[in-house]
Amino acid sequence: MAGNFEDIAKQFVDFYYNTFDTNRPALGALYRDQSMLTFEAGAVLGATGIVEKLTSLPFEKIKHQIATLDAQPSNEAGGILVLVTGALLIDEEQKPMNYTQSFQLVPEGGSYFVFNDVFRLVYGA
Amino acid sequence: MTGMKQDGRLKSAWGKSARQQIECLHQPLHISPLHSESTTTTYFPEPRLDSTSAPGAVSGSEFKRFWPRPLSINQTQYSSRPPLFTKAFAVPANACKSIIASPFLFTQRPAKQSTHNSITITMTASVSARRGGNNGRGFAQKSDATRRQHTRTDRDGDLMMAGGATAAGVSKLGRGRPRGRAGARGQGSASGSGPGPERRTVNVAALERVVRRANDSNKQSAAAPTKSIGGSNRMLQQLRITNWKGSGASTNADGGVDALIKFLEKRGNTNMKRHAENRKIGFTPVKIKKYQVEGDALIIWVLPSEFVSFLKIDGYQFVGVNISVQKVEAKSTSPTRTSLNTSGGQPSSASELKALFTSVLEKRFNREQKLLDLSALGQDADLQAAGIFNAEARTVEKVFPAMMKVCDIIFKSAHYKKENVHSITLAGNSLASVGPVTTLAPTFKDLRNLDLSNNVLPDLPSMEAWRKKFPRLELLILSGNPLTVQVPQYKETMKAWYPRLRSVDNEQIRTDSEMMAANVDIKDSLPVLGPNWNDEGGLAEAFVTNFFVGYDNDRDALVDYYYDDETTFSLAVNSKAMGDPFHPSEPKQRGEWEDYIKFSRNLKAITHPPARNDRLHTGAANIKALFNKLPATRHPNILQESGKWSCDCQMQYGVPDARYPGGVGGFLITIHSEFEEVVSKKHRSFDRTFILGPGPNGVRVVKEMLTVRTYGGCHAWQPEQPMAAPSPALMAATPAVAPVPAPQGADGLTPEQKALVEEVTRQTNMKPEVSMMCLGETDWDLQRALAGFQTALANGNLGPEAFLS
Repeated sequence: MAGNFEDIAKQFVDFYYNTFDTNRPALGALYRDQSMLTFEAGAVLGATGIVEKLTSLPFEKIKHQIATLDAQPSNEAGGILVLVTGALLIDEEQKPMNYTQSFQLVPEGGSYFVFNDVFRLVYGA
Repeated sequence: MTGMKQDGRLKSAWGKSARQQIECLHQPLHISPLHSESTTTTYFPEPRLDSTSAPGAVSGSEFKRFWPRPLSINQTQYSSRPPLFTKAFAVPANACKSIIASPFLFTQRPAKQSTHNSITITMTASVSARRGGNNGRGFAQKSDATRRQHTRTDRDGDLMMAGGATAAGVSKLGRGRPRGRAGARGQGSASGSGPGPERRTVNVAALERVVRRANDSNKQSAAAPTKSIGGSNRMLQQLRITNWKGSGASTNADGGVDALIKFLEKRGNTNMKRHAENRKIGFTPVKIKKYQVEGDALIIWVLPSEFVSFLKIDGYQFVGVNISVQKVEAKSTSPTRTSLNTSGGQPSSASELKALFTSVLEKRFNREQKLLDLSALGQDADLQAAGIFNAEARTVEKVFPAMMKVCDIIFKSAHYKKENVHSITLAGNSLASVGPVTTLAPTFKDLRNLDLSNNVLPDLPSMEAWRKKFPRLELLILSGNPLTVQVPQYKETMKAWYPRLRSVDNEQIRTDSEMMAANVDIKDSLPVLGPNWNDEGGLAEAFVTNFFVGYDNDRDALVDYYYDDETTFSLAVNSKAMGDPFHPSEPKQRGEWEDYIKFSRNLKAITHPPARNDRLHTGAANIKALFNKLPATRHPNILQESGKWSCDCQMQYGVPDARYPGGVGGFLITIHSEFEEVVSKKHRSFDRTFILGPGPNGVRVVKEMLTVRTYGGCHAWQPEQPMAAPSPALMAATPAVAPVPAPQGADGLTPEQKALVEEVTRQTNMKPEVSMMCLGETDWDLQRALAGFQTALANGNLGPEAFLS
């Protein structure tokens, strides 16, 4: 009876950042037309725009390091709210930047997609 | 057991008045058996991700086994079965699709409108409608109107117009009756101690009303989907009250309507009580669901079960007159009928009307001057040709709300309107009251300049509907109205009504210094709320304003106010987050995170299921207990130190709610900021994510997650920092990326600030943008900036990239 939404969240986060760090365009599969991304001060609606936004970010290499991860069931549709904090290493930069990212995952058929995605750098040295 | 749980939940979660409202309006509270399965604890059973595959690959059969009902998010299922939100927002997907013009703030729109968006938009439309009335009734009516438009089946966007026309018919119903709101306003201490002005204190369950109305409307529309109020609303019956105009209350600002309504409800209650006692049945307070003034008559809508109690009031004495209460045949006074559809040669379809209004409005909008000219509508050739203003005078009243609806379409969003429509003139419309055009206030709430000249407004009561509206109004023209002669003190009154009003009829009524004070006082929007704050009705904003004050001062009261037995809370500690280089170093101590770490539910570290469960706190009592174990805090004042806050808000659907198995609409709020621990004086940064649903005090916390981090400052999101180029933010936040020319005027720096940057750069050899950041952190205080530099240097927080080569 373990709350397996936690494992789903964990696996999602691992997969998400791994994909982000290695093959950003593939993130499109995780979003739908109704997905909403808030990336810093900008907002994008829909998978196409989101992928466009994510792939246009101006760095070659990026590495996410997750520091904390928490998850709770979020809605009656079986959604999962995920709160991640961590650090970003960009290109050759040695000093990481802190970020916080909230996801809401929503089940669809047998899988999940990202309905909400709110990304903020919380420390951008 | 389920029943008991529900009952207990209701008792604890809803204040008395709210509960009464619900019982009264809602009739039997349907708690379907389904619901017992849909509490959150059993809701996320055992779906398992195959770790070797993408998250998109949960085995369907395995997954579905655990669901109490078919997953309905799937779009293909969506259109063929009732949508997910059956109870809360049951709107046919194709109908939603038509409401495309609601103020949905996202800039991009997918080519294909998805059902989810539609739902969000629907809610937006509904809640926006709430703004239309200044009280619950007004809102409810418009919500009805909004809903009815859904029941029409036109697919091409004309529904909006249809709704508008309908709204036109009923909008007056809800006007000018503040009591509906006040009666249910929450009075918890968290709100009371909030710093915000009155309008930010928590609204009563506005979301709640959306849900309730939507729910009612489902039943109704299911019964008779396309009829107007009078016909479709089989639940309600109408009564006509006459002979009250001569009462002693008729001198009230609203002509005594409010007093009359109160009177009717009071008497109705007395009758109902007597009835209940005679029959030995439970007493439920009566309530007038809607009302409308039609000439000398007041039409009220009541539940059939309450009908007789109201009818008996016939002949009662109301402030010196014997009023008459008579049954109304529903058909005769259907408020949705407008003269628009009754005579030949006039636009007959919603789409024609919409097209007409669109063209008229576009002609009358001066983009450069940001002026919408709605003057002399009666003489408008296009409108005349369409026969719109030829009919009885009251047509304006019916048409205007529809025009406002079209404005919502043309001007897209509240933000767009705020930026692009600064001035509106309603001159020369023969207005004897702002009543007919009252919907202007919610539609253009950020209006700065308003021209009402050359109407026939006789007195202040004729403007009462706009009292305290238009929080940003700076200039008002009333010349050419009788009231400017008959009410010598009208300018003072206007000054009192409009906190930012600078000029009335070309006379300055506030000095510049008064203006500044007013600006400080009003703050009609939290400055921290960025472009992604998709709030509605100020609910989320009110919550954020209240929440942290409550958290700092009285956590018990806060929990009582916003949490209930279903709320879940968890926190995590991110002790690895880097410190702020410009903040005076706070040495790390042994047990630095001791107060938090034992509760930390970092799923990375806590992998044992029981340990995870222990750290997920459910219910107000448990959360209260936990909150009291966490260190006392001081958060920066969200109004006065807005730079330290970052807040995002998105609309949600399917938020768990005990009364609606499909869930309800709500908000997802993400907040980043900092606090100081009262005892240790340590600074921490935090991230706090909430899911809010409708609650007795406006909203309730359904889910909450907190991450506490090493203090990291707030410059990452400060837009006023020249470093934060508009996009891409990541780039901007990486000092290594942009070799920096000396700051230019365009970057928003004052000459003094530029000089300071140069000075810090000269003294430290840091790159100018780092100097700037340093100064920004220390309020542009040179000495503190230099001290911060020394500290950061000493702590090894400044890498070579911070310096000029």
